[in-house]
Amino acid sequence: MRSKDKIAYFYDGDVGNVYFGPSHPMKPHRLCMTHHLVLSYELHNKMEIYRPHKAYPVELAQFHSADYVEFLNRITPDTQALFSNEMVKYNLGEDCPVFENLFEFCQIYAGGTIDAARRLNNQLCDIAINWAGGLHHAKKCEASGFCYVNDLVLGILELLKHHARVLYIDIDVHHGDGVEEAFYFTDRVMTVSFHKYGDMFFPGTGDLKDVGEREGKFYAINVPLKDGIDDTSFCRLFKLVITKVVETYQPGAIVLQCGADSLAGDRLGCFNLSIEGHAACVRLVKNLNLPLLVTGGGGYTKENVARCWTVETGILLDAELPDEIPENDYIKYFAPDYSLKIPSGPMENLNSKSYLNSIRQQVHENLRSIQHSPSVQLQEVPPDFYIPDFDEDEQNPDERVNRHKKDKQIQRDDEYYAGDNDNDHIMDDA
Amino acid sequence: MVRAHCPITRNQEVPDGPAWASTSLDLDQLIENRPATSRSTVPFELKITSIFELNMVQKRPFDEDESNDVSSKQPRQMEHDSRLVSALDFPPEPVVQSYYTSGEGGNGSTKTKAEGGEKLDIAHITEIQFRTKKDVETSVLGSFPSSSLFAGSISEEDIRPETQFHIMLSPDHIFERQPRTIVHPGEIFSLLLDHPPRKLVPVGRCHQADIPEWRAHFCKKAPSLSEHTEAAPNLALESDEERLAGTCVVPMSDSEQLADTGVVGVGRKGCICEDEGSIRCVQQHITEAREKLRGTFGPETFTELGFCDVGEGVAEKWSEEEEKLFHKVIFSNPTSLGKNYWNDLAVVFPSRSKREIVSYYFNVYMLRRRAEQNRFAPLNIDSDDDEWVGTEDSTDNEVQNGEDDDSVAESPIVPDHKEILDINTSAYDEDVVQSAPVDARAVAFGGDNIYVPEACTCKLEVKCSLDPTVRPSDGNLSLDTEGLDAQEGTCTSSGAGFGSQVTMEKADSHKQCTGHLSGANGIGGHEFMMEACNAREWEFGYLPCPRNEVELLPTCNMIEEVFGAGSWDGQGLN
Repeated sequence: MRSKDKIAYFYDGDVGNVYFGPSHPMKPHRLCMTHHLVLSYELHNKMEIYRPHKAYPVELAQFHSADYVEFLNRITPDTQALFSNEMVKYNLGEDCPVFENLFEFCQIYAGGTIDAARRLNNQLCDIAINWAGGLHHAKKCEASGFCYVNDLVLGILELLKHHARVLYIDIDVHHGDGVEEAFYFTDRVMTVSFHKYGDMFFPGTGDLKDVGEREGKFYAINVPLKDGIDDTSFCRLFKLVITKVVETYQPGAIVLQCGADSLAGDRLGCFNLSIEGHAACVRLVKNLNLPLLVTGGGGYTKENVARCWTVETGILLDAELPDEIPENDYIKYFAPDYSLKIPSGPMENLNSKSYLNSIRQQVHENLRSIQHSPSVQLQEVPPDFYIPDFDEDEQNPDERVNRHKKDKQIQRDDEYYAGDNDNDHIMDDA
Repeated sequence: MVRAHCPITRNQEVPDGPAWASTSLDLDQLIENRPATSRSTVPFELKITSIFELNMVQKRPFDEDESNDVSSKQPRQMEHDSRLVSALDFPPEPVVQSYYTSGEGGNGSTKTKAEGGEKLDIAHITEIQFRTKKDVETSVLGSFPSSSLFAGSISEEDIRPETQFHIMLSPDHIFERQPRTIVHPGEIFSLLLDHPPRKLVPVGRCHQADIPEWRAHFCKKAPSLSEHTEAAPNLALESDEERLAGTCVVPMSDSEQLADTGVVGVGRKGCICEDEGSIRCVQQHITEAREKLRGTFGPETFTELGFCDVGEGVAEKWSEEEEKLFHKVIFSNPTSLGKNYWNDLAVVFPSRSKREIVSYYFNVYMLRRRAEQNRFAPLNIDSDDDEWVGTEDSTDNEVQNGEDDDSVAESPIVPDHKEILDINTSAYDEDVVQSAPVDARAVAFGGDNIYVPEACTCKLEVKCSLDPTVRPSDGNLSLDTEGLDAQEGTCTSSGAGFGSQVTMEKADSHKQCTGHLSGANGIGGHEFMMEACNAREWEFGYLPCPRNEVELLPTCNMIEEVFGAGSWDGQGLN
């Protein structure tokens, strides 16, 4: 059994003092609030805090095109009018406005994820956290959906230098299109995204049928969901999918994007998850005991973002946080209850059981294609690797993995159970 | 460095490219396995989609309609527009094929999904992409020869790189193998709803990442192939690597005492303050918590962690004058009237960086407002409504810049500390047309104080709109621009008489108030007038005070509307 996880936490105060513009829902100030709340809960006692370096343009260009990076570097609010063509080309101006200190903002949040990946690669920590990161919509040659630089892709590329396979999990309410697109052709990265799909919801990709292409076929998993999904449905599906994915794919490292706009009450989101439900997913991934890079992402109701990521920092640290928020400079934001809990209103869950079941079945079907595909060599897979074919609906979900397979994996025996301190019953299936 | 747009061809090396892209920096050692990708070619992004039916491509099919626009993350108003639908002729089965950009590098030849080796025929390539409005605006009837699209280099003359086209799929031309179907516009709409076209994942050299090669031996820390190695971690990075892996601010604590309990932090406890829950009480406890943390971390780390840039600590870096000015700028630029105070803030504080202004805004200004909101409208709190200024009921006609929030408080802002701003406006008013130097005062308002913007000229807009029959000269409110002596707090003194008159009209005033004022622009303190109409404890008429003569014009229109043309001579009500 692994000893206590070592956590590295990345933060730079400058990242929160940028302003996207009036009426823009993305407010980096939420990062200050998160950080401050984490510290006021004294979580610094259990982790190392780092200030990330500002990513250099050449590091950003590991993924992005050089001219796009350079444009980001040079453009300012005062000069953008002179470059209307480039603004259009790089999709800047509306969702992705040009604001002061834009490039520095990108350098900080990208630097955090890159640094996190490097620390993980060098085994200086078991879990690395960069709440400022997770901007998963940015594309190679353009900005998108409030994202300019895709720090996740950069972090994964860094991890790929040390790991054969990296698993990317995305629980933002929006499809992780930038990351999926970047790795659409490769089997070295498996991207799994749980998101709202349909009704012309941004970004429009993420259909169940999108599974990757060429060598990457079946290495992209999309879990399209409808409005109002609640803790129980979401967590059950998450557990079923992720455990199967990890069992099949056996990644060397995991990158988890924890977009908080999948929470109930988000300005742009439409799910009905509570913080407990959202955090239960984080707990499950942590308990897989693989090198883990955790980032933020969406989240447009500032206080809930701060609450959520603070709770999840606690979970990653195996710390239970009392609900009452301690005195801190931002406490006024948490009125009137000053509690870590958020209210979730009654919201119809449009995801029927049969719908969710059909998604799960299709995902498992796609994963089976990987197992038996000869072109994909999982070098670490022992020759007698075998996955029993059974109907999961009739099995106790908590006993899914048989003992034989379990022994093959160097993981905790209770990996598929919530941790010892878990008092969260959402993951336990009846 | 960024050049003005100039034509470039696809395979041409970009002159004056960024120096860092082609030079080898020391970082190269650390960024190993960097793929030898040529960065010389401009990633000419071919976002062109279907081109076969140029006459189907309408320049602005989505003109004012973004209802089906999925590529904007911000919420837009959803409208169904038949124009939109008619512009999109979707086939009965809106399955679209993926496409590949023209062969470059290792991507191979172009192909459709249907046939791997089939030569790309532009007439059969379709992709549905939803673009933002800006793309609509720039979508152009491409007049380029179809053959050049994917066949070879695409020259600038053919396609503007930023041009993005909407899918205009003609059912007649979708696929060779698909049956020809004629879809009527009416059916298209239902088809669109029932089978929304699937947006495909763009592929091509300008989309996918270059994957570094992985070699087992490269992983210097993992001697075996196993990825679950328990090998001893490298305890320290080399100095270069350390620099690029973050600077440690708070090292791991040696003490294990906290690690074992699993419970971290102590929740908020009650206090023994007599005024428990008041702003003063909260502020005291916040300060105590800060000092405790300062003791825990030490002053250096305390600063490193950013505590000096949080909360009221930020206010310490601003002078009292600056703070007053800050508030005044915001009040004078209510977003409900389409104003953006950020520009003014930058002008008014030339020595302050944008970062400092943003920091003050969120750490001091917004928090103080929250302190008030929390106490007077606890059910209507919305701190994400950053641009909310003043107090407005969400039911009135004012919509703030499309903010999708409800407004917050319904009652006037009442600071516990009875802060009264004596704003010296002279510095700020330099660049605006000014009639008379003014002094902003808190208006005694039924025992509550509210902030008053520059009260240069008190007008009787409220009164006029409330009751057209009430002539200004009737009450003791015969104010005129020159006659107003701000120093005496005229607003306050005249409130009494006015209030009694207006109170009678209160029932009707509300509607009239909103009705008239919704169209009035540029009236400083407009929102306060609205608030005056809505506040339950409203007894005294609050007189909004436009900032300057320039802003009187809209009032003029309104006055004329009420009193008839010619009743307004800009000097006062006749």
